[in-house]
Amino acid sequence: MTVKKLSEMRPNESGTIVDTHGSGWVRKRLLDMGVTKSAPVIFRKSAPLGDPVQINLRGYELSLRKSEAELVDVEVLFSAPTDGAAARKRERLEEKEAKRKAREEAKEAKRKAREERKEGRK
Amino acid sequence: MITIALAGNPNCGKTTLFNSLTGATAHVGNWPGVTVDKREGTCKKGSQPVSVVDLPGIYSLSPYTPEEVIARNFILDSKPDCVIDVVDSTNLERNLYLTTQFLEMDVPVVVALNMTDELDKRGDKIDAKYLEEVLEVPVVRISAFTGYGIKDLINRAIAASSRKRRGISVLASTAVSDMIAKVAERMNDETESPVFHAIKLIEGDSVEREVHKKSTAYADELLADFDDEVFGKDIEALVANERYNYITAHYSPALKKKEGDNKKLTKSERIDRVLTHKIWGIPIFALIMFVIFHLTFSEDFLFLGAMGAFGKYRGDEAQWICFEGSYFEGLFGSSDGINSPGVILANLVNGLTGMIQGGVTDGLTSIGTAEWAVGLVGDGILGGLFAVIGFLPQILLLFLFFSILEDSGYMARVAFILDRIFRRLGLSGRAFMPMIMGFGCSVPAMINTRTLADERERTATIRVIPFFSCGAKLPILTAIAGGMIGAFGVGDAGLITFLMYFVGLVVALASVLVMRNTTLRGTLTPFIMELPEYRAPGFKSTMLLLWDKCKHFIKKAFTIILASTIIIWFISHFGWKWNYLPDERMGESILASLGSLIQPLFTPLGFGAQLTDGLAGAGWVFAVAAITGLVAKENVIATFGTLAAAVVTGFVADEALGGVDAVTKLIGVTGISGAGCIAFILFNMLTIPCFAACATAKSELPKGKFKWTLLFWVVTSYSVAAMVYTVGAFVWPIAIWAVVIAAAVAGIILFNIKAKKKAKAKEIKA
Repeated sequence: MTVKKLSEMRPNESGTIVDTHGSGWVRKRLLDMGVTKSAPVIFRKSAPLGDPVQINLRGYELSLRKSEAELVDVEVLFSAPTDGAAARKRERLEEKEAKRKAREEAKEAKRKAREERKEGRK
Repeated sequence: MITIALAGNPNCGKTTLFNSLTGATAHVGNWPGVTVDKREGTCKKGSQPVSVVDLPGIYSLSPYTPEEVIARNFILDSKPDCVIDVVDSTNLERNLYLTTQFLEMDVPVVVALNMTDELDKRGDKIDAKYLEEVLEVPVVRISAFTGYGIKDLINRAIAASSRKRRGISVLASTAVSDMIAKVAERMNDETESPVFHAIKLIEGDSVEREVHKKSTAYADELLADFDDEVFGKDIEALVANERYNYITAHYSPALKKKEGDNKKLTKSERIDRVLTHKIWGIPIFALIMFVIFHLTFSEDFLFLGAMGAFGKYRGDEAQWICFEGSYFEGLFGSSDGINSPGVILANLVNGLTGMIQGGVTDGLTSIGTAEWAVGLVGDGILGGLFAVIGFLPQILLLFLFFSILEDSGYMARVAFILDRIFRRLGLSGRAFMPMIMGFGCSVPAMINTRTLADERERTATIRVIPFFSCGAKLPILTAIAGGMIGAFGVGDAGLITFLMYFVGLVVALASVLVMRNTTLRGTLTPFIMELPEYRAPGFKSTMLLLWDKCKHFIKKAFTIILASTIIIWFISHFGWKWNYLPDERMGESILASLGSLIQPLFTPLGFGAQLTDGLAGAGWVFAVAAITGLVAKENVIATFGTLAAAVVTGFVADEALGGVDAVTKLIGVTGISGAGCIAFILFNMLTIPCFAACATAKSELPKGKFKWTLLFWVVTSYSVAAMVYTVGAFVWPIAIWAVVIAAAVAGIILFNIKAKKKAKAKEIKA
């Protein structure tokens, strides 16, 4: 059993919600809409431009932004069926995601270095 | 008379129910959150007449959104005799979540299981008797759409309102039940609905904690000792969780799904496969938009004319659709093509109103009425009114199409598709619809912004809607672009028109970005939105909506617009000595002298003081045309027509040219430059819109925002037009403008960084 963020789920994957993070209105709204512990959820799809995403839960369709889906942890019970093409596509996506992460990390490191230099000057 | 409140989730059919109870015409849409304010009506369908209040749709009674606060305060403070909780039975679990909160209040509740017709169609069954037992309140099966069960519902609500009810909670056997009981007991003397308030205090509801300070202290004491093994001190999550758990365990069994139906894709899923498809989703949306505008505004339906479908019938032989010489000239089309339904309707209305106007003028003249009185009634009153009513067909048609999209559930998908793009500007995907409607007419577009959740987002959107150049501004574009070609012999009218549209779009998006970073700053509201099931829109509710819009618009036309047209007519047809002036002598009118007075203000825009040296001393025409445009934008070109007749000797306007000849002549006699012409177009496009749009903006904007909006329009139009003129005429001011813009952008960015730092510092302190 793997736990991952709702935003990282793939189309047709389903699971149960483990935890809802965040604070204030966003969190309360998620809870009110039924995004609560142990609720079953199916990831439907991402919008044409990759964001927001559409999920099915408690018998209705809900759309939320990736930034909001990141706040929800899901235990994946049923992975999407894989065929050759889908698997390749997934690999490509994962590669892309890894590259993006690497880029972001590099950026973060640069920013930190800059800040440290600033601190040093002070 | 007893009062019954209608409450429930957004999009559960509440407003449809309200309409069929009261016969009123509240706006219905298959879009979460159409009813923003509460509305009232009287229902005479039950054993006695009752007053019905339609509350905004909400998902919960939390304190976070204005809708939720309105609904909650109404039930707690105004104390309706009964609450009808409308539940969408195709979406039982989430709808009953709100029900569990109503049950905690000391108010009679009747649950209306709506959309049972939809349920029957699917073959699902719902056991109302069972639900009645477990909820301990009356449960009635209804269908607001077909009218089934409505009489029964209202009678049971009347019966229930005479019996007092104490709040009960589904949280009674959970980890927090002890705390709730203790706090509720404390609050018993203090307030009604103690159970409800107690739960809110424990949950940490900010609004409630402000009001009940004493009990809050007590609740905090209890909370200090509380620790759940799963949720810890996170009561908010615990309560939401327990509510849903209770619903799944005790209420959900009431719904029996048709067997073997789980694996089949539902209708909505199948439609979504196409309409929100990864690749086709956006092109399909663009196509739908294009078809709507084509049906409403095109004068070459299906491009039959452009494709040469008329062949030899082109030119003079196309008489059969032209009605030449009558009021209905060009009703069905011209030699260039057939009209779209929208244009045919508009022509029909314009033909009829033109006939009335002509008849009245002739009638008055024949019985020997004074010339000025004929002018006042014919041109001033009827002309002004009919100019506005002439828009009605196309506005209504546009409304019809958009309300079909809304009712069907597609609008929510549009927000889903486009959210990514609009987030960059600080708006949500829902802002797109009103903006694109603006290309047709600002009035329905501004009303449509009601679907935006955030007030600041809404204000920003309403303000930029006029920049999406509407149908009435198109003649300004085409006439002046045509005139420029006639007078200067350079340029391409189509290109100028397109560029102007584009500039409007850029200015709109830029000003949204600026506003969201300065005066209308605010965090981006979360986009946690239900995607409702697709439904065929009801004929009756759509027609009710159209009738409502129609009434609204006509009312406006007969009040504010009528008054303004009369005033404009008077000052353009009378001189300072109260002497009547016929059209040809408008140059001596009060309006003309006022025009020359304010004319210098437009000097930086290229149609001000520099024009007084023109051949006929008629430089004020542009200033005056801009002012008359404030009533309705088609006045601009109409004014050019009358003024050209007044200042150019021997000029006779050729109606078929749509004012192009008048503009060409006026460019010639006033000596306005090309840059000045472009600046004039831009000023008219971006400045204060017509009276109808202003009146709509005033009623749609939050209180106190309208005067700032007017200022925003004036400043934006003036500076953009000035920038274009000065750069176009002298080139070197480009340096100054670049510096000014750079400074402004830098200022905003710096200010925001500072504000962010401040907020962070505050956070750390807290």
